[in-house]
Amino acid sequence: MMDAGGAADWGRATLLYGYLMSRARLERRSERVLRLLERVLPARFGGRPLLVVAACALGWYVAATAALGAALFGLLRLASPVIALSLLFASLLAIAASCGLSTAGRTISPPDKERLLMVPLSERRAYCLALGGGDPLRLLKNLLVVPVVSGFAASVSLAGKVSLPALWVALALVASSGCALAVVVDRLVGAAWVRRASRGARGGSLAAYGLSSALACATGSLASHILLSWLSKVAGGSSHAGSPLRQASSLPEHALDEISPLLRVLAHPASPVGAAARWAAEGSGTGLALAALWAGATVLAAAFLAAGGGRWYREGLRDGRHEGTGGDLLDLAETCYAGLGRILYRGDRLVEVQLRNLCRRRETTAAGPFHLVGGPLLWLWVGLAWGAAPALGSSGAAAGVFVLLVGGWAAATTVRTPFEAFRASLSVDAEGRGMGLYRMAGIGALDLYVAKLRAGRLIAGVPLCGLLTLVAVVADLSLAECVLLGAVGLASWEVWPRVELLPGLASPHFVHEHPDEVGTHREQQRLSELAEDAGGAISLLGLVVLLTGGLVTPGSPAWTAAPVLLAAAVGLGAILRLLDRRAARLAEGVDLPP
Amino acid sequence: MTARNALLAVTGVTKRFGSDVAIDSVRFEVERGERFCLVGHNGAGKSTLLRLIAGLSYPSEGTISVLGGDPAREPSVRRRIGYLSDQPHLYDKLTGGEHLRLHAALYGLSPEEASVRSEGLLEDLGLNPCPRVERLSFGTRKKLALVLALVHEPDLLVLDEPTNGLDPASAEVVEDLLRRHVGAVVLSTHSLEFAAAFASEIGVMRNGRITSRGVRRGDDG
Repeated sequence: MMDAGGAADWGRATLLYGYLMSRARLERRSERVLRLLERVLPARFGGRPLLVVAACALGWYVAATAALGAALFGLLRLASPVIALSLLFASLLAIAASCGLSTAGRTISPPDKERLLMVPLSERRAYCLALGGGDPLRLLKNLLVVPVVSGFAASVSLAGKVSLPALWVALALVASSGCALAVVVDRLVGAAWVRRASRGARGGSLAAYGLSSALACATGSLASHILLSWLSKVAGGSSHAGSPLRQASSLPEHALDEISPLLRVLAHPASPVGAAARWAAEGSGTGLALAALWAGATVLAAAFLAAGGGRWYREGLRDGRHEGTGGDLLDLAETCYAGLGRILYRGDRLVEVQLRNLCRRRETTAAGPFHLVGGPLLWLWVGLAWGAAPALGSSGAAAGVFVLLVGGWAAATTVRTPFEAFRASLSVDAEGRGMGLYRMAGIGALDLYVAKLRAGRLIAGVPLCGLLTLVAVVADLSLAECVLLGAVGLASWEVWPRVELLPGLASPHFVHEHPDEVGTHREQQRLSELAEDAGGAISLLGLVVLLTGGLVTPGSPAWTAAPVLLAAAVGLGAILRLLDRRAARLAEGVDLPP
Repeated sequence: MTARNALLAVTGVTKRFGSDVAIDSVRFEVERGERFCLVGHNGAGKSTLLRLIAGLSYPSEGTISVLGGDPAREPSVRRRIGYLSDQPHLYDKLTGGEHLRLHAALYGLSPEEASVRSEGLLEDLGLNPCPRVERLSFGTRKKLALVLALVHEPDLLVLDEPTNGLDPASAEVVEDLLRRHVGAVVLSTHSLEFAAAFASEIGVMRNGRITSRGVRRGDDG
């Protein structure tokens, strides 16, 4: 397929597109800050407010990366240069892969698809524009700034142990592989999404879910094992010398010892990171050749996959799809949730509409269908509980603290994940201009908020029940601990959905170019962070109350839990009432979109 | 067989979405200088047919040829088409001028060339290129999208309800602008009055088929 226009035209168009899209994104995400700056800054500053925001964003990026560099600085001192550099390079590749995951949302279905398809560009070039135009600043940070800052951190901490030019050559190879890996991940995730959206989630998706869940479970179990063995080592006195701070600082070293077999695999001379690390640390020519080979192979794979990018843009995902042919897990999820909604919220058709809308919105459900029943994160928690089980049996106090800390955290993330994954359906402002239709039908913002809250809680409730049951079984908890875990889960199920939906009411943005942009506006994120901090503080307070209430002290009878749980329930009720009243007030102020 | 001079040839085109047939064996040709109007009720398939002609999706059966090429598969063919959808996509945070710059770059036009070409169009339609799109009314957005469809001087204009949302005076200006277009125009409209006054040929669509066609006699074009 030929593209119209020469390479120079294409380059000019790409640069202009990247610039305009990043500026528009920055403006959209910082609307209120910009308005404030425009008021504060003198008129002669003209377009400066945007520059100020851009400078702040860049400053934040550099600070965050410097923090990463500082962490690496410590890590690089613990292990041999080869191991340390292998870990560093693997981290860079992991960050690049996460970049690919984040761009997939946009490249799968670009908001300006119609415009990109109409101009004289091939699908491949339209795909490239969509890839680079999503969040160019983020790509620049993760694929360029992070490797450079990490390189400086490694240069300082390994000075004298490695040849610096070799280190920078290795870094360049890893960074190139990282860029290519981002494209590979983007395309693979995109291909899986397209398949699920057009043909439904079937056996292949189930197998991928099983594999990622098993991996998450194993990781959780390993993390638990490392932490517990370190705790017993510290308690056993083998490293009792020194201050608590010094004891705490022995954890990374201990963790490195525990995962040394994995590190040996990672730093294997034939692995991409091991080869690059050997070239940098030992000047191995074979290492350089292998690292270059790996980088070349990744770049080739990326080029091959990118050549097929955007093929589905013109095909239309529904074209070949025969609805209701059976075997599609997303159809099954819709039937189950709509049925549950009818039973639990009898008479509330709005809840059923929300549930059906969410399940049928393939653009979002196809990206993470298993958040409907609990994603891999849930299995990470189960793995943690499984790994911690041997230690929990011996001490009631440890089990109590585990239930409160890990159970609380796990319940919170399990409840919040569906809200984050399906924000484009669950957030009140995600309705966009459809709000006008609801208003005409006599449905206010508060009615919609309540319906979305119910729908979201129903969807979050299923994985939460699964999590609590699995944790109780694998960690072999006593009845009192199970009651406590249930109470923690219930509190999370009541509080977090409200916290997740309130920013959409407090600062609604009805115009989105892409579903991924729902909830990403600066002030919504600030509100979300604020609510998160408040939720964390309340959880901590609850923990203190429960600990001081004697609930988890060894030997205390189960009935001592009753007054403490009652007090916690009263406190929770007050918080919920406060949140509901706030939501009602905010809903009154919601205006129709322009 | 297609006519030798046909700028657009739609030959036995069918479009299916799953088991639904949106366009059913449609066949027609449009020559240079012709203005072909599609009329029909909502859901008749007008927009889907126009999207197929613009190359935005592939037909399930049949072929669409613009100047002898396939618009869905050949970018160089799409360069010769100007398309306006019923809900045109514009970037909210960009100004009209920035849209024109980006459009020119994507079509390989130099900024100067784009500026000269767009000046007259902006003036005719009474558009100011400075405000951001988010501050424009629906009608003004539609006019800006029309400028974008015209600025690269396409041979074939494919317009989905171009006068929808425009005030009568603006609709008249748009009609005048389209009459001056030297290539061919294929458009859909719900205004039979507009179709009768503007079209050289009218096709009535129903359930994905063109059920009747009429050529206007004594047309000034």
